[in-house]
Amino acid sequence: MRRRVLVSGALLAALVVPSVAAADSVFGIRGLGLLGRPLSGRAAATGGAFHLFDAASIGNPSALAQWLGPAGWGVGAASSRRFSNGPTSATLGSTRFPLFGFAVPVGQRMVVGVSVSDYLDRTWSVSTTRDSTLRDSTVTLTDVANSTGGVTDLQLGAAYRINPSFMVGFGIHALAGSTQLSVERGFSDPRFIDYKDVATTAFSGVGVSLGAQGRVSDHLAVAGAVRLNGRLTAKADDGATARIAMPVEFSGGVMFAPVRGVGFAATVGFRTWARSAGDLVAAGQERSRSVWNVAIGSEIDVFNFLGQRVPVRLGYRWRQLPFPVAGSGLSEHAFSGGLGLGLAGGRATLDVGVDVGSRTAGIATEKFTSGFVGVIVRP
Amino acid sequence: MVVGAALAAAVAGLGCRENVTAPGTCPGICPAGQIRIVDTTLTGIVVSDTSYVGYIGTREAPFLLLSNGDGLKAVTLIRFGARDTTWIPGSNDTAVGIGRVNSVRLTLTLTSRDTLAHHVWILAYRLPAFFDTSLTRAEVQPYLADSLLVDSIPVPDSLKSGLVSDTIRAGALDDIPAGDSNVVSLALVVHGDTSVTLSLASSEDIGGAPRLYWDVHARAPRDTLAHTFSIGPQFDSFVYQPSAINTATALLAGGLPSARAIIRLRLPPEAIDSVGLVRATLILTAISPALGLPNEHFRLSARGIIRDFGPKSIIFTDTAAGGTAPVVTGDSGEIHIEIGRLLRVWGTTSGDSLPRALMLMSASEGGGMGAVRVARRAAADPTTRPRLRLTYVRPYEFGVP
Repeated sequence: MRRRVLVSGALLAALVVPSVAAADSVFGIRGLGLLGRPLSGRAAATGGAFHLFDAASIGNPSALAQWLGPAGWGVGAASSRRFSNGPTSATLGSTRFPLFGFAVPVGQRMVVGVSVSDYLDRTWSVSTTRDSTLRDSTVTLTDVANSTGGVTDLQLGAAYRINPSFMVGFGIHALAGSTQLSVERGFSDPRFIDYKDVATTAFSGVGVSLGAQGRVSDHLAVAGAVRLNGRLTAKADDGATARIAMPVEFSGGVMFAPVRGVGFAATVGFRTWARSAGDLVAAGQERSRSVWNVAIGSEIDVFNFLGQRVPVRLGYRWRQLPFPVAGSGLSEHAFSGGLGLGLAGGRATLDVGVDVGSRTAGIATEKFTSGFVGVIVRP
Repeated sequence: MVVGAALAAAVAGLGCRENVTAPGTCPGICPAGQIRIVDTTLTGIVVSDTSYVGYIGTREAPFLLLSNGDGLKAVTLIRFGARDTTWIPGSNDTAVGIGRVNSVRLTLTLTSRDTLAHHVWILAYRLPAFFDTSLTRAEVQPYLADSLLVDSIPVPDSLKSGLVSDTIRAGALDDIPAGDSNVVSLALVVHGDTSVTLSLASSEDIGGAPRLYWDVHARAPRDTLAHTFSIGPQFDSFVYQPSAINTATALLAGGLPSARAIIRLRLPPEAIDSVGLVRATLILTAISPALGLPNEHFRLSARGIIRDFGPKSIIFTDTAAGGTAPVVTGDSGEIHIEIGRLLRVWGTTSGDSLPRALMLMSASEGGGMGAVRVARRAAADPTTRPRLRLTYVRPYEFGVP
């Protein structure tokens, strides 16, 4: 009974979370925003290399089958960023919660789960200042554009263990969320009254995903997933609507574990964001491009702590982003690391990690340090 | 565990600062939409305008005016309260009557003056104790005769403001005729080596109203007893010329008695916008130099109206619901008043029921003589008619997505 209450509570908590977002970036100003990275604390610490094999990450629905009992998980991410744009720069920071999930076995071989994660992040803010002539006098104008929100991915997934070495999974995705964009103009001359206008855009869409993973040998496992998305509908509060084709997402990975407690993984993904280009151009945006992402990482039990083996994780990742900024393609790379700690006699896990990297588009660069804290509870 | 806690704390520390605003550059790192500003001047916006005079009279003003200028001649009129004829020297004593008046002293508080005028004197003339308080300046003239001169009070050149005290020459006010019920009234005029204008604190001011002090001794056999009666004004005001202004040919605002002008507007939608309007300037054209005391600084206010009942309209007490413009006596030309905040209020849902009208008045109504006369909507010269200069932002195109 107590377990059922805990499970229900965790499920409810996952569903009522008001907003889910990854660490923000001003580069989300173009296109549909910055692509989310809905990774668990463990996967994030390996650069995402293990995410197709990780039950608490979203990339592969078949990974849900690894849960042998009810589980709930969440990730908090805090980032500090240094944004440089030619002669100007700023230090930025924010805290977001990119992933919540819950899974429960149904029968001996099947696991169903629900997750709420960041898919497209559209939280950003930019400020510009310039002088202009108004009513025959020079006035300094300070414009601030501010966007908050994004597109959230709600997944209902199911995974099945065909045998101990091979699992398949299926996910149904609902894309939902909204952004509130405000524009403000301040005037240095107090005779002018500041201007501010606000608009809200709501998003909706659906998708499905399929995934599988299997052990090829005692030391080698492979995984793959594909996600098909329908069109994303964006509807502004003034009634204007746009429908944008969304990408097909492919990803594949390999994990090598030569000895117990030592694992290496590599993942590659491809997303056909070029499909969105026509719709984005029609909406006045620049053309998007299809993008690749690559990650490699390791997880090694380096030492014991309080009688438990503590895995130390390292990784490197690189990815392209689909929406150009200032006419330049955007790419991102980062090194990551972290470790995991077992708690409560194995009923909980605390994963912590850090991600240090940069994004670059033309002369604009954003260097970031993101910290992740992931908690998994198995009541 | 310790390592994990330390790492978690470090992670939390990364995000303790929430700041997502980055420096942008347009058009690269900048929203797709643009803020486009339009500047235009609207004419023919006034559908009716009328002036009303008499909101605050000279007797309610906090000052008393004296002037002998060419353009402004003013005389102050004061009726002091009745002086008692007896007093009680102690708590267990009986009343004693006035035996003789030793001296009479007049005190005045100077609040402002022409600093260029020298050898300034205030001349006090005796008025009938119960003079008609509706006297005009012309009607006061017969009382400014030498035979009625009570005293000449010097105002030191060094005194810019403060107390002026004078002991009235002996015999001038010692005796109060029996029919005057112990009341003394005075008319004060000013003289100097040049034209001079000065103002004194009135009984409407917090302190410093004119006072008369009678230093007296009691009747025999108690004639060693002394006492001072201090009497303030029962009535004080001033009369001046010119005082009449033709409100049919111009809109009048300010002055004393104070005037207001109501202006009713008909505005296009872009002028009544709670979002896009960034500046709205009401432009009025003075048809003559601003009136007032020499070098008087005052502010002309255009105040929003809550309910339009003509001269008795209810206006916003919040000065932010409107605007003001500085004016100095003698100013001419255009007067610009910023009323953007009022128009923004009109653009809100709660502002729908508000009349599109505003009241022109002195911001410190009754506190000075400053007044303006501006061209009406039907002025012969169309370029002088009231108009509105608008600066607004066109509806922002946010775009989707």
